[in-house]
Amino acid sequence: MRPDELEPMSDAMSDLLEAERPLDHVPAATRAQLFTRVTASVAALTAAGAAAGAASSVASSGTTAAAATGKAVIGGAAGSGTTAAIGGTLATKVIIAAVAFTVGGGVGATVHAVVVPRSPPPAPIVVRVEPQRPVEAAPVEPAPTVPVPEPVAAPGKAPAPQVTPSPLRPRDGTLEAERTLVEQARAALARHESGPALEALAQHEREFPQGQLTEERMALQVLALVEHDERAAAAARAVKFRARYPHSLLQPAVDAALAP
Amino acid sequence: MAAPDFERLYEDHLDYVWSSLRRLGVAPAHLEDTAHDVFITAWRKLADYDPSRPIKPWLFGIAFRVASDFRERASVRREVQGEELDREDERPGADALIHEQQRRALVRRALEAIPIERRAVFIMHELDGCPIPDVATALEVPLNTAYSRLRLARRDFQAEVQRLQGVPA
Repeated sequence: MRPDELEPMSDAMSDLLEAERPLDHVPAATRAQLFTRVTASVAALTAAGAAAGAASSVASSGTTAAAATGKAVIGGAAGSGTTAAIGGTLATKVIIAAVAFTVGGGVGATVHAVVVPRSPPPAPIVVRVEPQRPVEAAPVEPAPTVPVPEPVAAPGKAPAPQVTPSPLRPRDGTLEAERTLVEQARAALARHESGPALEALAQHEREFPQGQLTEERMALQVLALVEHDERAAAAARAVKFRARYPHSLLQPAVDAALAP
Repeated sequence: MAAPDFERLYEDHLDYVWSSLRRLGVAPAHLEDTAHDVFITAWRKLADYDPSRPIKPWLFGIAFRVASDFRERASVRREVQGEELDREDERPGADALIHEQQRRALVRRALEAIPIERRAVFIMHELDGCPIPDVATALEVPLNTAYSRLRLARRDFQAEVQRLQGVPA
């Protein structure tokens, strides 16, 4: 049909629509919580992409890593339930990197190590992330693929923008306290010190049983228990993790950590 | 227009994405999950975004696909229907829909009666003020299809409003 065949809306209907025009305001707590999840997911995808690429050995020299150039091999995005074909060691690195991303502060995505750092821990690596295109086997949308509007042909189209997924910035003291404990655990686990990692995670669980970083804590607990050679406990914890966060992007890495 | 920083994109457009998902029929309990999926998809596809074009239609196109997929999943669909039935009992009658909040509730109920493909066009054009050519581009449909959907959506919307208000057809 042609535009001129379109009858205008009646004044009454147009007036009525005014009532719905204002946008919802997402509460601050929800904004922060969702931002945490988004950045963790971005970090997981980024870490997986970086680890899958040949340059998985991001040097611990503090250089800037182009982290998202490889194929993302992490699966299990919301609704897909796919298990990623990644090994246990890589799974550990992915979760450690993702958690570091989530709890890390400072400017840029402060991922302390995509590879497990040696002791003493190296200076943080600032990762500048480019959006992935095209991503294979990394269904992030509920559907295996979600088509996106074709880019409009524009002769003067700007070069692909660089995206800097931002770190979670503590919004209050509680989150800061959570962040500290989870970061302690992450750093200990990165040094293969599973005992201190488990202690920090247990403290987090006692003090923040429903905290904003519970998802990260539970994923790290699985890894720490595996590292501590308590596979049965790790498997039990993984079952709880899956039940609580069925769509977690950390799920494939948790599964892989327990793989024989 | 410069390429958007991802955090800025999130901060500036979360309310819009959230509202769009709700208008597209995502139940309140699932808004956070679907908004998460929209922003992750946006992050992955940001390289495809043309900064010379408005970003809201682009985000809406992603939200539409996420919402459509959400509704197609059988388990979720059952849940949505259940919520709709529950809400039906709590909603005020059409005669009471006279104040602003109630007018908004009336609009929302009427929107629910529009099939999602038409509803997406209707929301983008009538609520967001997006020109139909941009709507067609964002939703990846021919221009004539977009116009046709808008016409049908307007008819659906008006008919549902009148039905809710007890106006004889």
